[in-house]
Parts: sequence; structure tokens; C-alpha cells
Amino acid sequence: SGAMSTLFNAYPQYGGFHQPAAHHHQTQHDFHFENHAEGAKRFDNLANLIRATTPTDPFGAKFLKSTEKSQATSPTGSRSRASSAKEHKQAPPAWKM
Amino acid sequence: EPLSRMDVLSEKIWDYHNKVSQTDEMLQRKLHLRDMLYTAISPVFPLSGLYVVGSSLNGFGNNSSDMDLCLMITNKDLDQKNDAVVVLNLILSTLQYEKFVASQKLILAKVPILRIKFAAPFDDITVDLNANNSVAIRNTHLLCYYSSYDWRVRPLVSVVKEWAKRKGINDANKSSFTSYSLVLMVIHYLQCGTEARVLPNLQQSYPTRFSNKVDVRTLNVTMPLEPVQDDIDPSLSENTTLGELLIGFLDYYANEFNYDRDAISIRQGKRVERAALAVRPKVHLSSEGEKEAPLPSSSASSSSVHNGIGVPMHHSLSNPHFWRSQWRCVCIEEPFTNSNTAHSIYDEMVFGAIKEAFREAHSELQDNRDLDRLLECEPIKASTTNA
Repeated sequence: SGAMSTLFNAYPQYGGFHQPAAHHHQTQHDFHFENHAEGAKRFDNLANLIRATTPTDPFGAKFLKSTEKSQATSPTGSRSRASSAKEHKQAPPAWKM
Repeated sequence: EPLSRMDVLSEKIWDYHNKVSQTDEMLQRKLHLRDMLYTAISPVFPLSGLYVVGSSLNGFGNNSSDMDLCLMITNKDLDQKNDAVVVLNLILSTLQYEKFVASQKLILAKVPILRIKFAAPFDDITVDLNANNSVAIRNTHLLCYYSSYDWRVRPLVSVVKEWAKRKGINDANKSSFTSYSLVLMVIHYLQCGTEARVLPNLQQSYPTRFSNKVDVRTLNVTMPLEPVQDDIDPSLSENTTLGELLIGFLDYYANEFNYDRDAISIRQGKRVERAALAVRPKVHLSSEGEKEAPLPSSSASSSSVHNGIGVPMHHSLSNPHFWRSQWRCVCIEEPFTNSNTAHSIYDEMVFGAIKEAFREAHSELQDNRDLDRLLECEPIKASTTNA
């Protein structure tokens, strides 16, 4: 088909994907594969940022007590009541509620 | 008396958010499903990376969100019109032999998507997979830091999304807002629509972290933001309650934002003039000369793959009529490209109904401060003209 004869026309089906380094010099598209396998897994760590910045109970009475108690328990153990990506700036929050 | 009612509103918003936001368990299931897909795909693309993007990982997801995935194979731009389709077709052929895959559909939009549905126990998750649309990774990263900057951002977005959904204006297929556009509208409001700023301009304050030059593999996803000089004063910003922020959001888009003059720019942290964003392609367009017009740098508009889906393929961005119409009603600049994420709103009737919906919602919530009543709304009545 027309679409199939663009990027991959230099290769037999699937054949071009096994030795990525070699493609750099060979393809007319100057196409080369890069290693993203680890990068994609690393990206999952954004989930930790979300967890760490989720207050468990911003309106609860306990929340207004000492910062010592503000360490919440959670399945992951990583939850914190301090809820900012900018940890250092946002001290024990005094959210008005 | 009004103050205590305000407290109730804020707590209701928070409770609602907790009820719908994506659980850890749901995220774990999605990551597991992603790993299964990668195991199937990696023999064909051995060095590739399968990134989770969009609401599943940007902090704004709820438990019914689909999972958007971005398959990265190269750091160069992959031609989305042809080469991305080839890649997705290869994946489609590969996955058809997998028992855990129930059905697949290739959707030809500006950013083509392979939509995958699964057999039990993953039959409640739909995957939208794109090929090498790296801007989705960048804006997932950026939005995640916005969603984490202040605890009020995520609950505010949860409620705004739900209101818009019930109002029928969170649907790109009906020429209204995508979820991605709604998130950008909330961030914009928190950047410059409140009395005391709640959110900074992260791209300005942390230019190296959020540069679109950075290789997506080296994006910083683990470190908290280091303190910098910016104009956020937490002691001031925290004086506004969550409930007040929701009322203020509706007020801002009902009464303050001038849709004819203003455009939303998260990247610049302020309102800008529409005229500055909606520049025509530089090349002169003769009546038949559309092919020479350069595409805006990103036909791929965003992580929100839904952006492309509502727009039929013949609405090529290189068509000058479409180019004008995509900026007609609401202008929201994508933070890493110069496209308009709200281009799907090209219908004047729908646009009018959207503005009316904001006005109604604002006076309703202003008067009653009742979240349940706000969410018990009727969908807008506006027929689209299928331009």
C-alpha cells in the first residue's frame, strides 16, 4: 500500500528492527531507533509525586495539630499531608478551612 | 452563616474528589496492563518505550479515565500522517494474536490512535495508543507538577470536569471542551484569575525542567521543585477556600474572560491577545495553494488524544478555512506547541451555550453554595451544525 512504502520501505517486514544502530547510516530517512525502554519506566515515578502531595484529610481536626502527627499512614507509607510539589516552600500548611 | 456554608461547599468538593479520583489500585492495574502490552510489542520494537501519558499519570485522572499510552521509538519527529500509521498498523497486527486483547481500532486523526479494548479482567480499561507523539509526555510531566503544586488544584479540576461532563460541554466530538482544555482553563485561572496567585508559571520559573528541548528520557520526575523567587505568597493564596476558588473559576469564565479578545496561555502565565496566537501560516495562501502552507509546529495538539478525534481528517490544518475556524471561539494555547487545544469549538451555537452555562452555574453556586445542585444540571441544548 501507499502508506507502507514510506518509512519502512527499506526493510523487509520486521527485519529492520533488530539492529537499530546500523540504521543510522543506511536509511534514506536518516531514521534511527533510540532506547526508551528505561525512560518509559522511570516516567511512572510521577505517581509518587501525586501520592506524596495528596493530603489525606485537609479538613480533619487532627490536621490542625502538631506537624509531628501530620505524617499520615497509607498503604504505600509515602503519603504526606504536606501537599506541594514545592516541599520546602510550603511548610506545615495553614489551609484556611 | 455564609462562612460556614462556604466550609460545607469546600468539604463537599474535597469529598467528591476523593470519591472519583484515580485510586492506587486502578493505577497499578493500568501499569500492569501497560507491561503486558509492552511484552507483546517489544519484539517488534525492541528499544521502544511505552509511556503512560494523560490523565492516568498527570494527577487529574479519575477512576473511569481511559489510559493513554505513547510508544516512543525515536527522538526525531515521526511523521504522523504516514509513518505513525505504519507503526500503529504493525502493532495492530502483532496484538491481534494476544488473548488479552479483545478488539482494536485504528483511528485516523491528526495524531492517529490505536484504540485497544481488553478481555476480562481488564475489560473496564480502554487504551488509546499513539506513536511517538512526545509532546504528550512533556505536557503530562508539566501538568503533574501543576497538579501537585497546591492541594486545591486536583479537587477543583475534578469538580469542574464533572460539571462540564454533566453539562454536555466536555466532549470534543460535540465540538466542545476536551478534558485537557478544561484543565488548562483551571490552571490559567489559578495563575492569573484569583486575587492572590495560587499557581506560578512553572515553565518560566523552572525553564530547564520544563523545556521542550529536554530529551523526554531525562525529564525530572522524582525531585520536588526547588524554591525559587516567584510571585506566589502561600500565606496570601491560602486565604482563599476551595469553595471560593470554584465560584471564582465560574465567575472568571462567565464574567471576566473576554472570549473575543483574550486567549489563554499557560506558557506565558497570563491572558494574551488572541491575535498574537492565531497567526495565519506565513506562506501566502492562494485559492488552491493550501499545500504550501506550513503546518503549525504541532498538528499533534496534546496529550489529550481526544483532541484529534472529533475533527474529521478533511479538516486539514493546512486548509485556510479550517485554520481560521479553529481559533474562532475559545483560544487555549498548548504549552509546548502553538496550537489551540480548544479548536474543536468551532460552532457558534455551542459556543453561545457554553458561555451561558458558565453564567448560570456561577449565579447558581454564588446564591446557594450547593455542590449537589450545581451537579444536578441539565445538558446544554445546542445542535451542532457539523461544519
